[in-house]
Amino acid sequence: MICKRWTWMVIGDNIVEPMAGNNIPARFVTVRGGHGTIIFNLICRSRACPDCNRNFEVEKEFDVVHVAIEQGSLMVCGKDDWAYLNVTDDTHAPDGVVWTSRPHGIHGHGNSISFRPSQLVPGAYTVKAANDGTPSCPDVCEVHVIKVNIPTTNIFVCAEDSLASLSLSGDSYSPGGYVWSSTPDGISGCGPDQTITFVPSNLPPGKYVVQCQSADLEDCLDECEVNVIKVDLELKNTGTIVPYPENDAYYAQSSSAGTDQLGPLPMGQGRADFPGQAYTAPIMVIGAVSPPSVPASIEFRWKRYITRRSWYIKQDGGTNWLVTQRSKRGVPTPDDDTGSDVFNDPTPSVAQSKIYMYDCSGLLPAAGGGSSLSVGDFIREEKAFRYAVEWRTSGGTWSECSTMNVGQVIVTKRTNTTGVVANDWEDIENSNETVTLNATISEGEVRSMVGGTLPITIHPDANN
Amino acid sequence: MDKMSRLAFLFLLCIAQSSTVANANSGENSMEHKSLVGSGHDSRDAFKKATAVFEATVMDQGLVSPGPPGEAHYEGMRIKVTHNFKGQRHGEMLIDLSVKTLPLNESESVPQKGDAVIVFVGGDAVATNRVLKILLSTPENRDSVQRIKNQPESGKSAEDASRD
Repeated sequence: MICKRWTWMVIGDNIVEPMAGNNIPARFVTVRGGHGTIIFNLICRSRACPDCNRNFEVEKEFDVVHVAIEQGSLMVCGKDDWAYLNVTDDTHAPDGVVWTSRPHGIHGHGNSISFRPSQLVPGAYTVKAANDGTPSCPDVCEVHVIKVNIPTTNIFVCAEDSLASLSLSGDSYSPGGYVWSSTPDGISGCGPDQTITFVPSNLPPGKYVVQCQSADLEDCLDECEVNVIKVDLELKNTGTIVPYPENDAYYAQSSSAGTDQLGPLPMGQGRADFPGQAYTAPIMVIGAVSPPSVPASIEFRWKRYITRRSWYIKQDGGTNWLVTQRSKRGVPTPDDDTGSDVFNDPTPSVAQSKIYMYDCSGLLPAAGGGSSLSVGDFIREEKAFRYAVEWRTSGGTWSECSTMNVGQVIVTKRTNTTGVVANDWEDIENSNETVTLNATISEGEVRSMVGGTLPITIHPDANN
Repeated sequence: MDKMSRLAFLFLLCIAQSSTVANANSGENSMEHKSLVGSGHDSRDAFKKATAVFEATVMDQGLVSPGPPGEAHYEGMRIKVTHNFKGQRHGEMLIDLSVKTLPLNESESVPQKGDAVIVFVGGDAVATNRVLKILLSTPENRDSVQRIKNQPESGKSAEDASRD
């Protein structure tokens, strides 16, 4: 038996150009019942007359084996339970067709075989089909077992993240690449990479169903949810503390100040731990979490960082205003000044999906050298706060999701020497605004406090 | 915080408000608390984290400022180092510390002028003069810290005794 695929070559003694060692042009004329005729086109050249070529045909009959796979190349999805390969109708394999593959995984006997892509390692398989008795006469085809697998069912990203990514599992395979899309629109891309990056800050908060398709086989795809979480921060510096149950920490917050009033409080009020001594202006920072109803696996926590300086502004013998540093903190690196979690509520409320942080920042005018200031002297303090909401999923690593800068300016003036703070200090300014303060003092700021025309001397160390 | 906890919290705060918590004018702390700064911080762990641990005498409490709710910050507490357990500090130095003021049952006290104390300062991402923990310098606490120093990697040993 011969193989239709074989090539034929003239060999033997006394065979000369042009036939020696070359393939003979040959063709099958018929293949019926495995019986075929091969016509060889030969050229005969006389040694005596090299130019006297003669073409002639030689016919030879053989029993011919012919195996041809119907599918030249086959793409199957790794999620499919079954896939099929078969040989063409003109296949003649008198001993039966045997199927093998490299790597191993697709095999069988017969004109048609089935195999289970879901049980195969994704990748390219070279499949060989041959007459069982003539293994050297096979046909081959490529079978690509495609896999598109997003290993997570849903992920959460923060809307303020500059970059986020989604990756396929390492065993995903699609030689033509992948096509990413989302509903609603916003996350898309295509290419050979198994990772797609996107910019959460460009996306409205909410749920996105992200689909990744094989570029080779569009029905071979996987999906996951991307949830873009956003926390919009708002400063509340008037009115009262948001009450319970909307704000779970209301009682702790109001008790820490002795009042639920926000904004500048009368001198001496606003700190239960320093009764009669503080000059405070309680605020809330409120975070609106969207979309609402985040799952319990998402946790938030509040952070507060501070850089501050305060100064004494003293009449220096009545001829001059002298500015010296009173205190500083978080210079140059802001201090973590979050304090106890008892005083904030990091769990989004059911009704409004909001989280709450409370602060009753202030100063104690009479503390330290304050009690020795003269009537008419001032204390100024600038506090540069950065409030941050951190989040994590499933107990993972905390990362910042939203931040807001708040600047507090406190100015008070010594007006008496009774020993009672409320009587001795005038509440001139205690403001909180969404600004970034530099926590340094300038001549202009001093002038706006003291007025007049007396010279102002800022000590060289005042802004150290 | 459930309702019972909130009521308990309010009760403790009421107590705190009825008795002076801290007196900024005098620089004295009139609370009768059981714990000093960093009381929740295990001594062995604090010793390991700190860049320096030493015995010192408080010369001046420094300037107190209200911190976040339930916390105060002491800046520039002046101390005089008398003995080093870890690292080398000498003479007078200024330290900063944060102290819990509320809730009352968790509040901490601040060492007074003249107190002999064992101070744990510094550590990773912590300023070199920032206090992690303070113990009163009692014979028991000195022995305990000395044992920690001698067996820094050993098991639990003297932690209980080191609590102030």
